[in-house]
Amino acid sequence: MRPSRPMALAAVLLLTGAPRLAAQAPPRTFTLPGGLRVMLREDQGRLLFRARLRLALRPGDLPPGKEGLADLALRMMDRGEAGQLSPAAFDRALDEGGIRLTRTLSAGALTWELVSRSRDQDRALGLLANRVLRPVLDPATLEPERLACWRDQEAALASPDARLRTALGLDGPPPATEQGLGQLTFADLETFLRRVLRPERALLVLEGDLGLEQAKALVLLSLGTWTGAPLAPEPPVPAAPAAPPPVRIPAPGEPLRVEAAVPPPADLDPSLRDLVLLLLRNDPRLADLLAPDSPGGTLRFTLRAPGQQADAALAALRDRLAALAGRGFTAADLDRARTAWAEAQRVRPLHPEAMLDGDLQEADGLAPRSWAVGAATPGALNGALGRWLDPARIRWAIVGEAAGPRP
Amino acid sequence: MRPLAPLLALLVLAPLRGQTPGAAEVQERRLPNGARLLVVERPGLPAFHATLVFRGGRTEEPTNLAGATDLLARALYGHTWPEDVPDGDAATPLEALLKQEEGLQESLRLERLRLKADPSAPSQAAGLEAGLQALQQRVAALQSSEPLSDVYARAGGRQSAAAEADALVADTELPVADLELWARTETRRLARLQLSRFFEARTALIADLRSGQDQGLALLRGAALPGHPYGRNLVDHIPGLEAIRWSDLRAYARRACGPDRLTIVLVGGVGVETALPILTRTLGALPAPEAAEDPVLPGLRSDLGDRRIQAALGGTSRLLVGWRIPARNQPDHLALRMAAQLLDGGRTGRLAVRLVQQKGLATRVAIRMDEPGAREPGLLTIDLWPAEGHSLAELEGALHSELLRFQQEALSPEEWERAEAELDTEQLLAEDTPGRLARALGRAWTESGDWRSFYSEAQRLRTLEPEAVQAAVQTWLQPAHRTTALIEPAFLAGQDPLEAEMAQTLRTLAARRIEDPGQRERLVAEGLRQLRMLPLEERRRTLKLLTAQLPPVAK
Repeated sequence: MRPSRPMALAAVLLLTGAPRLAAQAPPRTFTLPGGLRVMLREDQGRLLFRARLRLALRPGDLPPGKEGLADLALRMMDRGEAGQLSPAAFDRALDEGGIRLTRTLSAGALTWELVSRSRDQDRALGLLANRVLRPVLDPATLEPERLACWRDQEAALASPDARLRTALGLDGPPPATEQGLGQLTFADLETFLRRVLRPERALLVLEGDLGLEQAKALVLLSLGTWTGAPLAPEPPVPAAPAAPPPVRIPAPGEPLRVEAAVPPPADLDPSLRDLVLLLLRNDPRLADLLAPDSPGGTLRFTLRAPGQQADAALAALRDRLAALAGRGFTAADLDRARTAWAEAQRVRPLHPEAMLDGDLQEADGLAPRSWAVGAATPGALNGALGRWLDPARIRWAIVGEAAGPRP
Repeated sequence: MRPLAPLLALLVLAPLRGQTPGAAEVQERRLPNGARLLVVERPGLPAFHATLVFRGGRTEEPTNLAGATDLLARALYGHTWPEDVPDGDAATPLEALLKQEEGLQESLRLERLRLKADPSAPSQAAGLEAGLQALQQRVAALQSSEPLSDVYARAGGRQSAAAEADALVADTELPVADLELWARTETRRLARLQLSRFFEARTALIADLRSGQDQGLALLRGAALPGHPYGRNLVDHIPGLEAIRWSDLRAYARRACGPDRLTIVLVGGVGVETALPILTRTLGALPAPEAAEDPVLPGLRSDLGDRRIQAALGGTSRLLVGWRIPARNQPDHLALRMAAQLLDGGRTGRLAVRLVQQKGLATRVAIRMDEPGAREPGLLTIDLWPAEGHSLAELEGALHSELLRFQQEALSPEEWERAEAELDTEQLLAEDTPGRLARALGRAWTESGDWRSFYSEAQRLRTLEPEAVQAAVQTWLQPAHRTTALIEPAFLAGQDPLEAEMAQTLRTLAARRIEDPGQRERLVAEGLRQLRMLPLEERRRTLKLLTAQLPPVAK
């Protein structure tokens, strides 16, 4: 009997690894004496240089009651000197080279993303190093920045959609609160940055027209002096909070909808995570319910229920998710998912940013492994789905105008 | 010396071709039915990005089909279900059921409208709903229901589509080995136009429109571009959208998605030698429609006069100013793009530095070019969010002062170089990523009539002179081209001191004649709304006149 195509593919995956490996050379890695890990994706002839510096956040870094700590610290960094450069001079230096530097704060990391013309790569990495290694916080800016931070937060949460995203935990760590910001001291900010801006927590990914030796020289020149001073013991890790009760978000004039969001379990095998995502996001029966994409692999469900009572709509969505959690993926489903996953690896090189994201995942051991994709079983897949959709982990929100009383 | 001759000829002739090195890597071909093909080969890439660009877009929709492009983006290109792209030409059972569903949906819509007008009339709605439900079950039985049924998702690909002002754009990414699969599938999709998820797509689009979009910008467009499709707000056309039928959209798609309107852009590990034969026998074999004239769009004068609108939309206060600017193929367009970069490019754009950092009048500034499109004259808009304690009127005054400074004072070489560097990086980013490049080439073709403008504009930017940019700003960002929208959370919130005094005066005057406080507040709000339309000096004079009517205060 001839093996079917998916079975053959699974065998190939098990034996040879992902097709990506055949198409794209894996990044090369090195570590600086200070502990900074570097991954290089060399691409000869590329006219752009990209870098991504990620600093891991640990659960104890953002203690409860100090919501807004990371936001305010990053604002203070932006408004303070970077090395010898004043904030205005720093911004001018970026613009003079057409260099784009952005930062993002997610639940698990601070990330700086850098894009420049290849010819400006030295200057670009030097500026990034100034920003991260040599920030000078000015105590005089604390109060104005605290106020500005709160006002920005208020303005950002003026829209129902932003409140919804916050309620569903889709926008990184818990947002700044007036009380949390009010309690932060200058020392808190310094301690936070000292704890987080450390080479052993950092991972730098580079992509561009530069070889290994050139990359080593470049990184040594910019970041070679980065060392972390001894630290006090890590603060105790707070227990993960249980999912809060449903949040009600008024949105005058908008028809009622109920939303649910649930991130993948932290300890879920990345290969199973990707296979479940592929199957759910490409399930025609969920097309009206499941958002096609949301950050960090979070599943976001929306049930539109115009004219209904909120509690009835909430119950209806709970029932649908319970039914979904209990469904059984079949061996045929798994085969299709394996094929799609393997083929999708060939499409990834069309997106340089996605390749860098993949490298970051790889470094953290969070990237799916082709052998694990090949070895997945329907039982493991269904177990993963059940754990993912555990009702205790789901966040709920009710948006818009309901016909009946509040639940 | 003979071998040198071809080389010399190349050296001499190369500049005459007028192509930048970037443009030289684009291979252009015409398919037998008139569709254009652009191929940019990136050797070594194991995948390709394909963009189908149908010229027209929202702008060319007839009023009774407003929203058709958005519906096509969802119903035609939202997914690729196998039942929508079957082999052969024969009518499918699904098509027959969809026709029936269209009839029942329309009967139900009319019945609901009838009941709305006369709630006491005998209703057939329940019967129709039951019939529709039964029919929908039969439709569902013929539709894909297994995970990863989608033809492209199953092959590891991605698909998306967007309705734009000037075009319908559909993007697909697949491994190189699936080029033939893609070409065959797209041919079947366009040949059949089955739209099996039409009813779901219509419901979802209406729900999204009702859930909100940037109404401030929509208001500005409507006021600045009156009577032109660019000024249309889809939210105002929801009842019409509810009445669009499955067969209406299919008929529209036959015209709007014809090969004569199509440009195919392929970027990735596929060369033109490989792509051309495949596309010639697939998409190139689609029948060319009968020659039809492009719809005539209403002309719009740029100097319609200074217009002002004021709206309370909730959220935060915001000043939104738009100027009618020329289309992309007009000479001043590029100079205005440079001006936008100088005013709000990078971190050191003029407006951010002057209004946000130095004067502290605003918390944020954003500039948009070509709102909502650039094939026709569109808008350059500036969005400003006032800082605490500063009014929209104050911000407006400061903005206009900055624009005057921009026109009158010499631009420094440093800021010019910064703007150039920013635009250079932007161009490289667009060329670097296959998807961005494909869309940029498609957009250039749609907006200026020639995909080469994507490259030639970058070249021309390097030879622009500051004086030309200042002259363009003087010509186009002038009051006669301007529309100003004052967006506030509520009519009585966020007032400047003059407005607060005005409100108090109006309230006192109104209290003498109107007892009902609600009615009084409405009158005050309306009075304020009208007074905001006046220039500042005239408002001050009006306040003086009103204050003179107040009874003397007892001392």
